[in-house]
Amino acid sequence: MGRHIIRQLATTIPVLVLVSVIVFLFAHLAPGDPITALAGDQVVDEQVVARLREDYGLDRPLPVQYLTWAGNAMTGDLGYSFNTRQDVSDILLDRLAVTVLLTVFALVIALSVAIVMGVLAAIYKGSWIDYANQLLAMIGGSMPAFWFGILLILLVSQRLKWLPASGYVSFTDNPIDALRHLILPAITLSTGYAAVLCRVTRASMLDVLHEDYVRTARAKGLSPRRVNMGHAFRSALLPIITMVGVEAGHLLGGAVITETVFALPGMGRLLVDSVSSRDFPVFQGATLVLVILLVASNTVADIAYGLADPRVRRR
Amino acid sequence: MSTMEQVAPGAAQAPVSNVKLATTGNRILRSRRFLQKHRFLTIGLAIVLSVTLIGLVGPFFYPYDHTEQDWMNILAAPSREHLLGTDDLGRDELARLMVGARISLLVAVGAAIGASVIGSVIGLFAGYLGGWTESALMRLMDALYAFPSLVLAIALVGIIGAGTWQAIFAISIAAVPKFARLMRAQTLRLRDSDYVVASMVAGASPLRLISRHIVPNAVGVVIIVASSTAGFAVLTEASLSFLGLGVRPPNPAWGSMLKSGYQFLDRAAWLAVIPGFAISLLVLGFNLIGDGLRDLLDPRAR
Amino acid sequence: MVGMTGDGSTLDPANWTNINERHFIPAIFDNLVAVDENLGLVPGLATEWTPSEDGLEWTFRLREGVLFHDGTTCDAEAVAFNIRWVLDESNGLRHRADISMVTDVEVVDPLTVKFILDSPFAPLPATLYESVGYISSPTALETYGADYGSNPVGTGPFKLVEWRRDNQLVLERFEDYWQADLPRASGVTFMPIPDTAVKLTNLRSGTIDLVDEIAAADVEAVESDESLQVFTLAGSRWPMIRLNTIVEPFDNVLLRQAFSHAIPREGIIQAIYFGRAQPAYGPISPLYSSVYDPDIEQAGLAYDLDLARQKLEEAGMADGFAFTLDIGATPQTARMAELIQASVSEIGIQMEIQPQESAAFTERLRSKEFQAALGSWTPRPDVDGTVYQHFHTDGLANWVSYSNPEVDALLDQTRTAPLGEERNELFRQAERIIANDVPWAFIVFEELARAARSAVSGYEMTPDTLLHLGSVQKG
Repeated sequence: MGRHIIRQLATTIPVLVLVSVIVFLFAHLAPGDPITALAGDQVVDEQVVARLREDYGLDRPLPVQYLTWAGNAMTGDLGYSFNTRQDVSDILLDRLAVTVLLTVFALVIALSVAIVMGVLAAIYKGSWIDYANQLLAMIGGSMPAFWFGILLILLVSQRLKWLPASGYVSFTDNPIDALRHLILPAITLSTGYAAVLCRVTRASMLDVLHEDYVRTARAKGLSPRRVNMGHAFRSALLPIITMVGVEAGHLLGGAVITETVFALPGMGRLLVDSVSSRDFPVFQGATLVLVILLVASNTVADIAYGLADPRVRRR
Repeated sequence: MSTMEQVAPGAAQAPVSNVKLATTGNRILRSRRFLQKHRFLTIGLAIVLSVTLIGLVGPFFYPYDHTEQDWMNILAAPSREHLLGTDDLGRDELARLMVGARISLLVAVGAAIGASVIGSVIGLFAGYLGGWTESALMRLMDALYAFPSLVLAIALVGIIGAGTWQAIFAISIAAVPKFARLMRAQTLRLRDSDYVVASMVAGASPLRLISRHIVPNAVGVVIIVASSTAGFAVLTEASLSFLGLGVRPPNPAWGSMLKSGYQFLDRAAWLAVIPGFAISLLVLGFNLIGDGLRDLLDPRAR
Repeated sequence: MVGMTGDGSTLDPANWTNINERHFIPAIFDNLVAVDENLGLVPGLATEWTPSEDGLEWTFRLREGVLFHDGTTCDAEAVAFNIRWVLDESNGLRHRADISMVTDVEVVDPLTVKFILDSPFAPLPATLYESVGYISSPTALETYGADYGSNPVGTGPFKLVEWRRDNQLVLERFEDYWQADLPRASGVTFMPIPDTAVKLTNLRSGTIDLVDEIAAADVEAVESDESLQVFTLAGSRWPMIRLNTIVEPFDNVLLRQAFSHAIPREGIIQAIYFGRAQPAYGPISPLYSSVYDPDIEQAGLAYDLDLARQKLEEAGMADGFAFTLDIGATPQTARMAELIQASVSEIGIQMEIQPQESAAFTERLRSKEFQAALGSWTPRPDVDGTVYQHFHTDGLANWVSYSNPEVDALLDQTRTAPLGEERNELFRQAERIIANDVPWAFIVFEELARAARSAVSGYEMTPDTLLHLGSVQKG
């Protein structure tokens, strides 16, 4: 098992390095520089511009800039934002908290809906429940998230006035209010995800239901319900877990638009904003963190799968 | 956002009443059974084909030009004159929707082809050559894949600018890693198969091996993933247009139509609903095709 | 609770970059001068100011008994410190350029400061109002240094409690504010909500009490809503198209004029602003009631397709010409561009619209690589702030490379002439020339619409378009 983990990590490191290089390259290939990007069409002193460039180290050759940043990053120092002068690590922590909360909430919703629907569809395979389930899953996976989000706002916030349309309240300040603000965004974010999970659940359940040992249990005379809930379900969970881990990283991508529509101060918006304002340290730091998280979630999913299914471990 | 791994399911099962029809041996009826059995594939194809048809041919038969502005008649509700109403500059919404279909289709197909070709070539190289090349290429693919696709697209558009071809390029790049991984897996699998080993022993050249054995066998899976990629491309292009970074105005991309509709949500809600509906429909079509093809080529629901 | 279009990066008044920051600043800081309803200057932290005979020295007398949020006194030393701090380029403050003509500051007595200039500059007080005149606590400046932008300490009605970027800027009442009965509210929280529709929804539902701006399309609906009130201000912003005068095709003034003639200003006012705007032909907005020239239309650049065709012929381009217009990524700019595109195509002008990602847009502008770019400008307390840097040959924001010695001479004079009717006339003369030369194709003067819940009282729209919240309270 240990060897498996180490092998995983070994392949991760070159990926991380590559990612950091790509990000760094992008940050400097794109036209525009951070100092004037913020200024727009306003007047800025030449001397000030020169001074700021020096401050930010932008006048040094690219490889030097990269190595300085990479070196610092390894010791945990991600530099400070060009725009706001805040410590990048502080910014990331704040934003990450929001996005993680949103993502976890969306995940919970998606999992609950998907598992229920998927299991039912598998058990009642071929019936109208199955068709309805597949139809809904298809539709859910085809909708543009921002459209759905807008419709939700229109309906729930404007017409019905049940829930707030935007904004974010810190969980530590006021948990109930925080969740209230996150319901609509979480639902929006969860749709595509739920669609995928639903189908995986169904397939996995179907697989397991045909397995020998399930049929054996049935033959032994156990009631169908016990068979389903007990054995089948538990083994069906494995691929689902893997899928969750694999797709979790991409959920973060979906968060970008959701955060924009609902005005949430999360990682997604931070990424997009830092691209527009050429705030290199923030962009580089944020992407790095996201990638690490993605790889980590993949690895954890892999390990969990390995632990749960002894057949895999022997490899 | 439909899954591309082989774990997911799919086909609708046909009712058994077709047994009687099959016994007559009538060709037309047999193909009808085919269509009924592969319900998803049929519906998907129907959707995509109708959208294509409407997009290509519709504007010629329709009286309104999609660029004709009518400043005195903006945000008009659907009426007999303007079947879907007018937009914020008085242009006919239906006309724009039809021309917008062309854009969405172009981007979808363009990106799917681009990503599948580039990605497959990379995967093929990696799988066939192995060793350092394989490691390096795959690490690069992993690195690309690690970026949330929308962020990657935005970043690329930041470098190369906004526009239809730029969008196709950016979306292709975001989708390449999937194809690379797929093709590599296929190449590895086929490379070691008896067929290929025998041919190699018999002295066949690598090119012949690749073109005769590997590619044809992998094509099926690639096409399946390509159709889901087409759906993904439509969604991503819509997102880019929504953020203002998609095709150039005044091209009526559905995503930008949605964005402008959103601004007038309280007085012209249909402008926000209709393009979104169109996007969903087209993506659904592509996803159904993908799923349908998967069932066709691999009927056992794994 | 105030809904804003976006957040800012810094609360340092000498370093502001966007409109949101300009709204936050008056809540936390006071300026040496203040502005009345006619854009005239009235006492702020300074009670009076006088230039010397030669215009090279300005003496400001300060108000007594003003405290900073950290308890230190705001006196001549503090003001001098501020100015010197800005002038010191190692601090890298963006608005240093605003007072580049100031060489030094002298403390005459605890309540009197003297500015020393290297050349006469009549609009000095107005320019101070834009940025550098907001006084910060020297103690804070020294303590925080480069981080001051996140830790502002001023003399204003509210002080900073917490700033969660992109989420909330929380301020609370400063009990020792020098205007004893202000502020009325116990605190203010700014919330950035980039989406206008969502912002309005929040206002309607009562989550926020005041919104910085609502779209022209929504004004009617909000006006008829009894739970809401609207404030308007005409001429608060003017979109325009910058035409690069040293690059084809707009290096030819006839083509610039032809283009301007083909812009359907009335159509734009109807379709985009729902009637809430007026045509613009020059840079002086009706907001400057004493300077605005209602006859500017006679400079002859109104919408007239025949004249446009005529000019095209004169330039030898009877069949029209082609160019690319850079725009930013917002849907409003795209609409405006599309409308203009349709109109100018009628006389054969092919305008390609190229949306640019914001930093790329800025880059192309500043490196002068564009042919035409759609942008906008907002008013400054003195006309100088809306004209000099853009249209003077040596202007630091003259991205179109416009150069006309007559205009230069007139504008230079406005900097030395005393404020008054004579000076206003100089501006009008310059405007007529600029309107004819079309370095910018002016489109319209927008009307700013701000909305609040009816329960909110005490808010008045000021001509500087900024939010002044000292006398505002809920209920």
